[in-house]
This record gives sequence, structure tokens and C-alpha cells, in this order.
Amino acid sequence: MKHTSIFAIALAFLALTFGSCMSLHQKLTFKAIPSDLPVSASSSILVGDKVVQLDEFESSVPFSLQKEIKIPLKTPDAVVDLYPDLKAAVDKSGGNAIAGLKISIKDFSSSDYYWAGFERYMGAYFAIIGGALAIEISAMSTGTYASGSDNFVLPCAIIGGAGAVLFGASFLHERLGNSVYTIGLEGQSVKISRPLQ
Amino acid sequence: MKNPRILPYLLIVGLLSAMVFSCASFPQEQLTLNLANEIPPVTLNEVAKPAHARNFTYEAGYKSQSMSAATRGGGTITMTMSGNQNMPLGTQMQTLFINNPEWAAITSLVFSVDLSNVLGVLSTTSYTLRTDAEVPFQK
Repeated sequence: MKHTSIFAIALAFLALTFGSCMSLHQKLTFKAIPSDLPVSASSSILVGDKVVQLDEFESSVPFSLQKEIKIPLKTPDAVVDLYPDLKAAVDKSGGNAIAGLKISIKDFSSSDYYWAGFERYMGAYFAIIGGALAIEISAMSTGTYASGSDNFVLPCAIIGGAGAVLFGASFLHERLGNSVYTIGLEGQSVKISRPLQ
Repeated sequence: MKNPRILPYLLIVGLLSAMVFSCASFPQEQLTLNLANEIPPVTLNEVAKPAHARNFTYEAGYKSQSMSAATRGGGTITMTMSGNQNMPLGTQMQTLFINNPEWAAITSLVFSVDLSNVLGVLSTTSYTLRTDAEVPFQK
């Protein structure tokens, strides 16, 4: 009986250790910007196969904006389209192209991921410890040195069961949760007179 | 499992690692594509593929690994190894213009996040910004 319970505890421990591994692998791909809005990361702009230099810009207005993107944790690949935001920024200042665009990932946060992780390993700890104690005590009480330890089986089983429920709930949390990306865009909205292709 | 006194230690480990997760600052500097001071055009538009082109890949990011352990004397040790990988993309891409002064096109820009966590004790965090650039060249 004793050996069986130790074996069961070891097995449960291993299963929960592997089961509690949590990972997030997400990729954010930026979509290429259509050529009706020439966008350059440097100080000059390529329009078709012609280069428009800094001193040929008719006007230049700096802009800076932040974009927040929410992506479900279960989506491994996501595509970000910056075009609508850039187009809006350009239209607002009366330009027709963008120079010196700086793209930065300002923040990544996922409280859902961290909470689901926390729930999972706390659930695993409680399930392992409560479950192990319940098995251990119930095994002890059937042995020759049975005593009043029966009183502890139920509380231990409740702790273990609550841990198992929390462990299971973390999977649901992970399924419903999101991660949030903050993307910063900074640049110059410029006006160029050369005909656009 | 004979020693129930391990429970408080495990709780401390869990809480500490949760704190480590939430307090780590974000490596914004590494994850920026900044070429605003470069003179040759670097287009972000879709471009027709030039007859002869060379492709370059650049990668910058941040990686950290933490491990927490409960000690016998009481308390927790958390070891964290972290660091920025490679120079910022803008600095790396300067080499592009030394050989190719004409223009360059950024053909892809991808940000990836990789996080993993085992029982709140061992965790890794990694952020990578990767870009592919294409430059034309005359034969």
C-alpha cells in the first residue's frame, strides 16, 4: 500500500510538473505598405525608381502615434497593417508621403498569460501537496498505527481538489486571454510634388 | 512529501517569480527600427523585385532566463540572466549603405515573443525584432 501511494504521488508530481509548463510563442508580421503612400524609414523617399531628397520636400510635419493591438493568446501568427494609421496621420497634415519612419515596439504585456501561469503552477502545487497528503494520511490510517488522522483526509482532499480545479481553470483563462502590443510610430509627414505612381 | 513545512517556501517562490515577471522593464531600445538619420532611401513599400538583388537579414532582441529555488535556511534565491542580443537594428543596417549607397527596401519586419514557464520556478523570456532588407546591385 505504501509503495503504491508513493508511486502514485511521484507520478502525479511528474504529470503536474510537465502539465504546468506554459509557453507563449507569438509572431507579429508587419504588412508591406501599398505604393500609393510612399513610406521611407530614412530621410529620403523612393518614388517608383526615383529618389526624392530631403531638400525637395514642400512641407514636412512631424507626427507621432501609438497603436495598441490585442491578439488572443492562442493565435501564433498575426499580421499588423499600419497603412490606415499612417494614411490618417498624413491626411491630417496635408502631406502625401512619409519620411524617417521610426517603428518601435514600445511594450508587450499579457496579464492573462501571467495570471494563467500563476493559476497553473499554484494549482499544481496545491493539487500535488493536498493530494499527496490525502493519499498519505488515508494510507497511514489503514495501517497498524491508525489513529485520529482520518480527520485530516477530507481537508487535504479539498485542498488538492481546489488546486486541481485552479489548474484546470488556467487552461480556460489561457484560451480566452489576450496579449497586448504597443507599437510606436514616429516620422515626418511630407509633401512631395513629383507625380506618384 | 513528509515535510509539510516546504509549503510556505513554495508559496514564496511562486509569489517572487510572479513579481519578477511583472516588474521586468521592456527592452524598447533594442526593438526599434530607426533609420531616420540615414540618407539613402529605405522604402517600406511593396517594390518590384529588381533584376539583381541581395538580401540581408538583421536581428536584435532581448533574452532573459530566471531560476528560483527555495533554500533550506529559509528564503528564496532567484537567479536571472538577461541581456540584449546584438546591436540595435539601425546600427546594424548602417553596413548596408557602405556597400550599397543607392537604396534599400525592407521586405519584411517581424516581431516575435517567446515566453515559457515551468511551475513558476524556471522561466525564459525572449523578444526578437527581425528584418529582411533587399538592395539592388548592378552587375
